[in-house]
Amino acid sequence: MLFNSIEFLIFFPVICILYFIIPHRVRYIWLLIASYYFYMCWNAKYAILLIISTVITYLSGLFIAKTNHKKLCVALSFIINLAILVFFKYSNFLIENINSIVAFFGIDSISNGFDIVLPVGISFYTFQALSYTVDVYRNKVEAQKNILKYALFVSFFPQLVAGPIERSTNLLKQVSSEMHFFDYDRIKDGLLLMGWGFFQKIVIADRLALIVNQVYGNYQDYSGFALIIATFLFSIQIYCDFSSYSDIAIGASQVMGFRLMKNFETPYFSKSVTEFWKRWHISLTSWFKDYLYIPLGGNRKGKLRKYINILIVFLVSGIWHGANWTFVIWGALNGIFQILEDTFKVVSIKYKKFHYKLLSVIFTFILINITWVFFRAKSINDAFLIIKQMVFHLNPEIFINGTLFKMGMDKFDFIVMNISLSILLTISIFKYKKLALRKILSVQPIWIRWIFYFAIIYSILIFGVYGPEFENSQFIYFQF
Amino acid sequence: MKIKMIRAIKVFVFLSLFTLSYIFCNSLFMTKGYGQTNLLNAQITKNQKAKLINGFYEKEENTLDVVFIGSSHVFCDINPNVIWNSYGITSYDFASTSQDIYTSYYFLKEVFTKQQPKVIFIDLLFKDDEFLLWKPLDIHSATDLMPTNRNKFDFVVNRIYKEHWSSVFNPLERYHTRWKELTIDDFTYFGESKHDNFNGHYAFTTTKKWVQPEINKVEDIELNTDLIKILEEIINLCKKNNCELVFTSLPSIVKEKDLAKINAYEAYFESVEVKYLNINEYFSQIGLSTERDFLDKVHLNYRGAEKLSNYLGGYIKDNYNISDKRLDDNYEIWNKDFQLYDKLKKEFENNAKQGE
Repeated sequence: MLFNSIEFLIFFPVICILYFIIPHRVRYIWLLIASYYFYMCWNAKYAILLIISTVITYLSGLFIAKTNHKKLCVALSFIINLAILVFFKYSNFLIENINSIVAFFGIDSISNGFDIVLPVGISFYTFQALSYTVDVYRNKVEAQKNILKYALFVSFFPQLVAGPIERSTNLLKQVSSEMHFFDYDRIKDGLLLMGWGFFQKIVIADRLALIVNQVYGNYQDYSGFALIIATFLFSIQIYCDFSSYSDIAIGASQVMGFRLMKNFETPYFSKSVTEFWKRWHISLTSWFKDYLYIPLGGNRKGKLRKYINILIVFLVSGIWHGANWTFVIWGALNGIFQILEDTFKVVSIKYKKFHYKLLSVIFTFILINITWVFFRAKSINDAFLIIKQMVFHLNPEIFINGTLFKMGMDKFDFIVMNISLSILLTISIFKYKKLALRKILSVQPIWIRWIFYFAIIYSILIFGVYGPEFENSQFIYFQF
Repeated sequence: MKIKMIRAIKVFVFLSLFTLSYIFCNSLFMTKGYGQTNLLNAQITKNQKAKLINGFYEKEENTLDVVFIGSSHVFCDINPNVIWNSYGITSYDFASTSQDIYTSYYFLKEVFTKQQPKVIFIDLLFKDDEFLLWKPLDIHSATDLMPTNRNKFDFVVNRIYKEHWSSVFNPLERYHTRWKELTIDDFTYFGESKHDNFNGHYAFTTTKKWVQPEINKVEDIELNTDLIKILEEIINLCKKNNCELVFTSLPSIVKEKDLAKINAYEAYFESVEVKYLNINEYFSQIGLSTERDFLDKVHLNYRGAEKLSNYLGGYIKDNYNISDKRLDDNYEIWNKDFQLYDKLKKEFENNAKQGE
């Protein structure tokens, strides 16, 4: 089920209330049932794949602990899980590419592709389960004997479908041995974080989508600044969409007493692309670092090897995001920018003056936006055409001739968008300066706090992009 | 322990405040009128849609002799104030836009919870009614102002697609985008009286001229089984409540397909011995002119409504034993309603004359 749905608004309180009532010993069973119910609301049949991944990696942990063929266990676990992932996610992509290649030689296509529905969350839970295999191998965590507790680690509903991708050293430990108590302040804080997540998604991200979808869906009709604006708004949209999901996941877990890892840290304030990847989708970047980059040798085998490893990691990251060459180009660009930054020692620059910091932030933001064009466009061809328009057909007149209100959004929504973006910027600056906003709010007098709570709730209910007037919006990262 | 008590109270107060504000917002954002100004009702309020429904429930129990049920045809064409003034019979237009026969059945059930009318008139549409409602416009037209009771629940569960259930019980889901178009009337609604001086009638003041086309050939059609089933249930419900029943086809510029439906209705109602009035046959008797009395192809303006209402009042008086209560002090409010209607009508006609 989607987070932004009435079902979830009923499901979540029911799960939590019962969670705190039933005895500690059986709480994990309750959460396991809830998590599978949550997942099966998408597509009941694909729970089987979740179970297979769970069982394979669970067994891999037990075998690694017992046998001497540890490397074989790790290899088998990876091969089986990745085979499932590749089949469901990349079969049609592989077939299309093979067809193109054989067509070049005049041979008929090998297959017309399968009618496969992508199981929701498969990229996320597969990676999470595989990390357990490696962690047991590396003796970072003991093999879990209770299969139900392990299954809960893999399927924990707040982060099952779009992360943060958790580690066994963090989440498995909490799931298997921690006791959680009803803590009024912790729950209030968790709910507030969820509220901010819903605001980001329903008021900001889905509103930005109105322009982004209109312009990117009809890019031939727009030029220059319209495309630049749409790309800029997409960069905000994908940030809000994704980080809102993580915030709701983290907040929901916190209500029950669990602590999930941070997934975003004001990424657009980064002064380099390298820094950006330490602040964006942190759980995925650290997964790739620990389970791909370091096994490849990391930076311990010389500069050339280091650059090759970076490129490999980002090509894989690209293809992880989607079965399309646009994602591969997106990944490659991010890898290349980081390699160049390392070559020119950009990351180690110590900025003393604020305006130099600001310039590097803006420059990095522009580079990231260029990569987002490939991420959002339907094909590489589209992406290049869009960039060409942005560079060669700048049309400043759109700012005064009313075109701004023909990009999928009317004047009223435009105003709400600007106000909500200002709120987002303000809160992001506070976060960047490490000011704990929720803590500051919690010590204010009750009437200020309540005005704030009502403001969040009603701005979502009134200004939210939901209901019969709009299509039901998925979180962007569900396609992965 | 004391802290726990205080926190519990805080949570309770917060949730209560939220619930009250939420109920307020639901009513605030819901459309309560159609923004039309070409009707006499607009002199009193623009929230006619809400007034009509609220006005029915505001009536004292068992004070209505007749209730007219149906679509906008009913509330445009029939003026209960005129029926009262000419015959001393109390009536009400309990109808909603695009209301189909299945929704009329629901409205009929609602009537019997508050009133014991002697006669019910139900207007039939020419188009085929769909049992399952899926267009948000149709769904909300019917359900927005229904009181939350068992009847509404049955209606929703049986007739509305599941995806739309949440927006029926939570109209804010559909109407929240009206934040761009809220008017002062949306706010003044909360201070308005629930009494509808027009007793459900919309007295439109504009006119469109029509010519009734010649109809040469009419096919034979059959009424579908779902329709017959609901008609039977309606007939039985009225019998159970000792209430006379008359089905109608109210005036419109009739097309071939409409005439085919009329013929089918006539045949069916004859077979079950239930009264059916095809008003389209009585234009000259009623004095209806297609040049002066129509608002549009299927609705009468206030002039046409007065003529039709006088005719219907006479029909009721001749066929049913209902007392004339014009001199009964308990019904003084009906006199006041007619006087107000008459005053607004005369003001409009004077202004129109001066404009010429």
